[in-house]
Amino acid sequence: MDLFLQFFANGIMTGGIYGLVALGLVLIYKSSRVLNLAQGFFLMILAWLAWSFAVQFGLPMWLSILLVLAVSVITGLLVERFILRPLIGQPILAIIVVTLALGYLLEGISIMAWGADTKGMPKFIPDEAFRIGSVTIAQQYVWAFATAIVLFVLLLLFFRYTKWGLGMQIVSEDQQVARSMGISVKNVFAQTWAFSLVMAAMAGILYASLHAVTNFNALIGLNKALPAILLGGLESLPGALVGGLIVGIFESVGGGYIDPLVGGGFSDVIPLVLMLIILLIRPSGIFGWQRIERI
Amino acid sequence: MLVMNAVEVRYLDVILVLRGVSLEVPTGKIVALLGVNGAGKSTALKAISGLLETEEGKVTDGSIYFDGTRIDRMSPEDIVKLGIVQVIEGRKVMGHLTVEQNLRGGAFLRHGDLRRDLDMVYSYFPRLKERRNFTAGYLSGGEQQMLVIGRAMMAHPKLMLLDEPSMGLAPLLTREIFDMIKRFNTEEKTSILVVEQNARAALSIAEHGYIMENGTIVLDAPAAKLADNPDVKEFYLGLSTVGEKRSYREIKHYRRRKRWLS
Repeated sequence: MDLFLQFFANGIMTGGIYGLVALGLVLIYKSSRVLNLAQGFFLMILAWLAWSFAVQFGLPMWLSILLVLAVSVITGLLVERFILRPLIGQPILAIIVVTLALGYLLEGISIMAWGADTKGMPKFIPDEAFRIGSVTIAQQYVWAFATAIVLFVLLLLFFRYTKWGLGMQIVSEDQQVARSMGISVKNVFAQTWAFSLVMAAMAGILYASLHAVTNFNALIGLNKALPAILLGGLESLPGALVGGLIVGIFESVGGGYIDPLVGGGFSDVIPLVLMLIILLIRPSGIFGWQRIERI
Repeated sequence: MLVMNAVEVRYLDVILVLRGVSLEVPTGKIVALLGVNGAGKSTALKAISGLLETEEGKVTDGSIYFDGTRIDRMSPEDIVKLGIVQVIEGRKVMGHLTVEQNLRGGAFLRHGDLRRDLDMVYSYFPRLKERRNFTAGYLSGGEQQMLVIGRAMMAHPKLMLLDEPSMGLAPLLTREIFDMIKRFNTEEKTSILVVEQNARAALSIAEHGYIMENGTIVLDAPAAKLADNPDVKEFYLGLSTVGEKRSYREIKHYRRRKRWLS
């Protein structure tokens, strides 16, 4: 039982980070119907950038993080302006493929700039672990999880109670009607990309500080966050977090018990199996938008 | 005051839809734009509101002026800021949002407390007030039409462009909605340009009317004269000579070249 609780707790903590990445994906999908397959790659390269500021330039960690967040905002605006905007009106599949290409481009740039090795992120979270009963949780996990929750709550409040949030929801329903109401769809797209990359940066830095700075971190986008948003529903912000938590828990618990039996590696497969199951049973996800049909 | 001067509109650079449309909406008046399907009425409205951009259309000749400002080159967002709001045809509500959220969205460019604006819209359409927290996608057709008109009202436009408000609605509901439109025009002094297939309803509230066919205006007269015009009666109001025995020779009568006599 203790073992189960430990796996469960670990799962919730990593699930928080996956949820953060998933939130970024949902934001972009909700407003522009684009599935940003480059989200994981952005996560990876922004973590590298933080490492570079901290280790190669020797800046204090808090400054490196702030700079990376600023860079993510600018990058989000640039990507929307120069890569997505020219593709408005083109088939959605073409745009999704472009994001995938962008992802591989980022991987190439990362390898050119910092090589293909694994490096350690300077610690900025204290090391001692929390103990709750028989369960030990690394403090870094708690910080990561807390950040994810705080950001998520802020986003939810933003969407529900501010005008800009309403604008984003309207753009996600119907772009032509949004423009007829005076809402600048281009500005909304730019904002969602900026928000989304900031979340990728935070998730990337937190994940890298828990594990390592490596190009393989990019796989979180496709292998963990994508199943998470399919589980939770592509248009749902709460769904992103819930999906992330479910993926994290199943991965940790399932992997913890089954990995020793099969010699490892099963934990990577679990999120993809979950994705298959949800697509078969309920393709719109747990909280996703159902097609409104009036009979 | 809106003025369209010999406006020519093309889609995708080659499909000519409007060929020299000229019309005028005086401040504070209701003008009806009638015509059969495919005449280009919606295109004319989209040329005014700037939404042609969203459909690969462009004004390629002529000009559109609103209160002295030239608007045919402006983006739809800027045109809304000037006070022109179009209600697109087809009852396009934000299906997954509530009625009240839809209305708040309509006032996107306005600042300050929206309570008074919401109360104004609810006074015009009490049925929306009853349904204010319903998901908009599940409203009936009539309620959705009221919602999209209410949404436009929230922006307090100077000029409201209505595209086929009566489409798919029961006659009684159509009457109700047109009465509200007339009331809105009288009380809020909003100019209105309404495109309609239901010529009778439109001419009942309009002061002036235009008839479009094949991308041009073919008839332009005060509403009362239009309603009395024999050609309009025959082709739009459905009133043909009653009680006469129709021989097949008479049928050719409909294929005569239409000469619009004003």
